[in-house]
Amino acid sequence: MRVAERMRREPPTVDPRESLGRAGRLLARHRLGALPVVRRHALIGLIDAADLDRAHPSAATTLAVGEIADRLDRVRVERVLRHEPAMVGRRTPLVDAVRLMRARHLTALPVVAGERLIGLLTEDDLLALLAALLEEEPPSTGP
Amino acid sequence: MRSSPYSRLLVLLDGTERGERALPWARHLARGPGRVVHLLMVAPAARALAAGGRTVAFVDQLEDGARAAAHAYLGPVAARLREDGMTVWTHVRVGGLAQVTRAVIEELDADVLVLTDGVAPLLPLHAAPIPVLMSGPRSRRSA
Amino acid sequence: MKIKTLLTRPAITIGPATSIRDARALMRRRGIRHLPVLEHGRLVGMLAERGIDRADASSAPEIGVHDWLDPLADLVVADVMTRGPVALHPETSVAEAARLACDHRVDAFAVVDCDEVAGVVTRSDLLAVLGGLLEHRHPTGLGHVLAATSLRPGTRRALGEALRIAATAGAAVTALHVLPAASFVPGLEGATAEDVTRVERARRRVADEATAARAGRAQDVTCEVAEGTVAREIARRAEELDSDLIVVGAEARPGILGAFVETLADRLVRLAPCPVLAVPRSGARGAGR
Repeated sequence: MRVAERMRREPPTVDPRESLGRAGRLLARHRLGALPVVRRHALIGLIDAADLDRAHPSAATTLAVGEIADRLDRVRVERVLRHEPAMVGRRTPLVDAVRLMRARHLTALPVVAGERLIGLLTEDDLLALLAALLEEEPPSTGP
Repeated sequence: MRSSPYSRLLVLLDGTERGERALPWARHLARGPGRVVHLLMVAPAARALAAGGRTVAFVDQLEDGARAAAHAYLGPVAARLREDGMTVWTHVRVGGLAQVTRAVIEELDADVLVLTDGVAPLLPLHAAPIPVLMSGPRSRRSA
Repeated sequence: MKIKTLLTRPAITIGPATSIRDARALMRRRGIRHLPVLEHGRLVGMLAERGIDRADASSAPEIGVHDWLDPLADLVVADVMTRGPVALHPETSVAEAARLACDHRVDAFAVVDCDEVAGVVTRSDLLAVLGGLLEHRHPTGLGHVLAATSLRPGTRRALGEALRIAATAGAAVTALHVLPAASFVPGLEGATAEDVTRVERARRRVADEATAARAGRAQDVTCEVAEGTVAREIARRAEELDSDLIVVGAEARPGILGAFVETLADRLVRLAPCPVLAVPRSGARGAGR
C-alpha cells in the first residue's frame, strides 16, 4: 500500500503571508490537524494546530480577548511555520509514511512531486484505515 | 517472497534525520531470514583541547564523550528497527571516516553499504569494494 | 485486538494540584504528552502537552510581548487540564478506539477498568498498530528497478544484482542503455535508417546482457535504449517509470593526483527521484556471491 492510495488530493493550503487567524479558521473548517503552506504551487512548510497553540497568548496576557483575535489576524503564517517539513512522494510505502509521522509527531504529511504539493496524508485518514483493516480481519485467534 | 541478495548490510549514519532516510532502504534490502543490519557512526578523532597553554580536555575524554553521544543516538534507532523484527548491531568508532568505513566493511564482511548523500561527502565511494546504495536529495520515496 | 495489549507500562498519572511546571517536567522526563489527572484515585481530567503550550507565552514575539514573563508560574494542572476525558475499558477493540479517535478528534484515551486508571492509549500508539499491520499484512516491496548498463565489460555484475534485487521484491525491471546523442544535422528531421539500426543494435545488446545476467532465472526484463546525456536520460526515465531504485556500475576512476572525480553515480544521486545503487565491476571483492 502506498501513500497515493490514502492521501487527500487537493488539500486546503495557506499562503505564507496569510494570517495565523486565517490558518486557524481553515483548520477548524476543514477539521484538519495541519495545513500545508504553499507559495506559487511550491510547498514551503507546514503549520499545524500545535504551532497555533504555541502562538496563542497565555491566559496571563495583557491583551484583551478582542485584541487577541486581532493580533492573530495580523501575524503571518511565515513567522510561525515549520520550514523544511518532512514530505513523501506518491509512491512512498504507506508503512514508511506512518513511521515518519510517529517519529516526528506529525498529524499530517505533505505529499509532493518535485516541489509541488500533490496531496496530504492525515492522521485521521490513517486511523480510519486502521479501523477498516482490523474490521476485515476474521474474528479468530489473536489478542 | 524470496530473500534479499545481501546478508550483512552496513548503514552509515551521522546523527541527523537526513542520514536516517537511508534506513527504509536497509529494510528493503534486508528482507529474509538471517539478514543482519549493522549501524555505524564514526566520530572524528579528537585533538586535546588546550586553553591558555594548559590542556583543558584530553583526547580520551573528548572521544569518550563523542562515543557516548553516538551510542545514545544509535540506541533508539536500532530499537525501532528491531521492533519490526530485524537483527541489528550498532557500532561506534572514532577516526577518519574513510579509513574506518573501509575497516568496518572488512571486519564485518559487509556486502552492501547504505547511506544518505551528504553523510559521507568526499568518501571515495566509487572505490568501495562493495555495492553502495545512496539516497539522494530527491529521493522522497523513502520516509 | 483489544486496547489493553497496547498498554506497555504502568500508568503514570498526576494530581490536579501539581504545578504545571512540574507536570511539564514529568512529561518531558518520561517522553509522554498526555497525563490522566486523578483526584482521590478517580479520573477527573486529562492534561495534554498541547494544553500547556497553549497556556504558555506566545511563540510569536509580537504577541508574546504581552504575556507575563512566566505565565506558567502560578498555574496548576487543574487550570489547564480538559475535564471529562474520554475513558475506554481495556477490552475495547483497537478498531473502535481508532474510529473514536478519528470521528471525535481525540488525541488520547484514558484506559479505565472499574474506576482504576490502567494507562493511556494515544493516537501514536494506534498508528504503531497500523504500522505493524502494514508491515506484515500489506508489505510494500519495490515496484520498479531501473538498471542502467553501459554495456562495457565488467558491468554485468551490476545488471545481475539489479535483477536479483528485483526478483526478491517482485519488482518489474527495465534495463536501459544510453547512447550518446546522435549528431544533429539541422534541416534533417526524423530518424535516419542509420539511427534506427544503431538503436536496434544497442537494444539487442542490452537484451543479450539481460539474458546473461538472469542466469537462467525466469524474469521479465524490459530492454530499452535512450539517447542523450547519460545521467539526465537515466534520471528522466526513472521519473517516467516511477522507479524505486536505479542500479548502475560503479566507475573506478581515480582522478589525476587522486583528486575526486565526479562519477555517473554521483551525478545520478543528485538528479534521480530515487536512490542509486552503485555496484563495483565484476572481479572486485564479493562478486559472484
